[in-house]
Amino acid sequence: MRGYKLNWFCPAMMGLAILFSLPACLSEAEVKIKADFPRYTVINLNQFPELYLASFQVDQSPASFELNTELLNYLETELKVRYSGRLQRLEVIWPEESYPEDQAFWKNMFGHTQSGPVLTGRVSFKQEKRKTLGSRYYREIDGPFNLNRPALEERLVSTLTVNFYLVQPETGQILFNKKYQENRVVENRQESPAISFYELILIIKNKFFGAVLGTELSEERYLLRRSGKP
Amino acid sequence: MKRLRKKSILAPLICLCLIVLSLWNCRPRPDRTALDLGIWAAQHNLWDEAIFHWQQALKDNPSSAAAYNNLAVAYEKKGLWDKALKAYEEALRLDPKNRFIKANLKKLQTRMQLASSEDKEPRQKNQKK
Repeated sequence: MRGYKLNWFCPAMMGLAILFSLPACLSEAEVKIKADFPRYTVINLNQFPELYLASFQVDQSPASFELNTELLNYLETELKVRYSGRLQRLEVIWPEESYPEDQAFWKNMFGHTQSGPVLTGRVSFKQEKRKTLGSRYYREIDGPFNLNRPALEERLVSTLTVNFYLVQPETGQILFNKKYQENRVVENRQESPAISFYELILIIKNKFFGAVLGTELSEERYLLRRSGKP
Repeated sequence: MKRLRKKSILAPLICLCLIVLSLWNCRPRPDRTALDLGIWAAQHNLWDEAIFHWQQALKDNPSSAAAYNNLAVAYEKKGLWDKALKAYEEALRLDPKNRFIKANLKKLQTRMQLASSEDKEPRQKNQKK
């Protein structure tokens, strides 16, 4: 009778032991987490407590459009949303043959006073009418060859080029420099330059902010509950 | 008769040892608790709190590859790239075969290389002009 009891007791105990040890073995070592990680940037504007937004050098602009003012107003509004430091406007009257990369120019302007970096650059905005092959077909009736061929259509091509410079004014050192160029083609040849400008600057702004402020990307990473080594 | 008695004692003893071992394995260890708390905080998007817990886990167990790995992920989230890279390297040094740490580090390196190449491209184009 005693032997029978023990025979029943042992498997039960074994079962209990397995039950106890299972949770320890079943809990996974890793936890997959999906989060928005900031994009790696060579320079981050938010590391500077203050930033000057200076006038841009205008290389080319439509006559009826205040390119520098529009660009500065746009950048100021957008930077106030994304930049956490103090943002100040700086009116720069560019002397002839002076460029943002001119170290002496910045040294003369700021001297040895310590201040935040200056965001400036060169900008060019042009609109031109170009003839391109259109989608509509032109039927040549009176010609020697009765052929169907695509007709040439006139379109308005807008090109915005912004070359950004981030300059450390005391030394004139260029902390960041990148050139962005975007095109837009529209059929409406009478379209206002402002429409094209704001369409293009939006694309450039997203790229530029991604490079200096870091856009966020959703990615997966593994978090560990326990180490390989205790 | 003696053999039977030995068997009847040995089996419960083995079972008891197994239970004790499993309980020992499940005991609350301070570094593991801190690791779990950090994971909970990270899952609730409380990354600063997560960093605090994982730093605590490192104090309790300075050779914890998991704590280094988790800290690296948190540093990545905060945009502290250099710190993240160092923490991943330390985690990998402590646990060189861990595929999860390797995967995390590879993702960070890929992003850094991609950003550097994007930054170089326009400069090279400008130089050619």
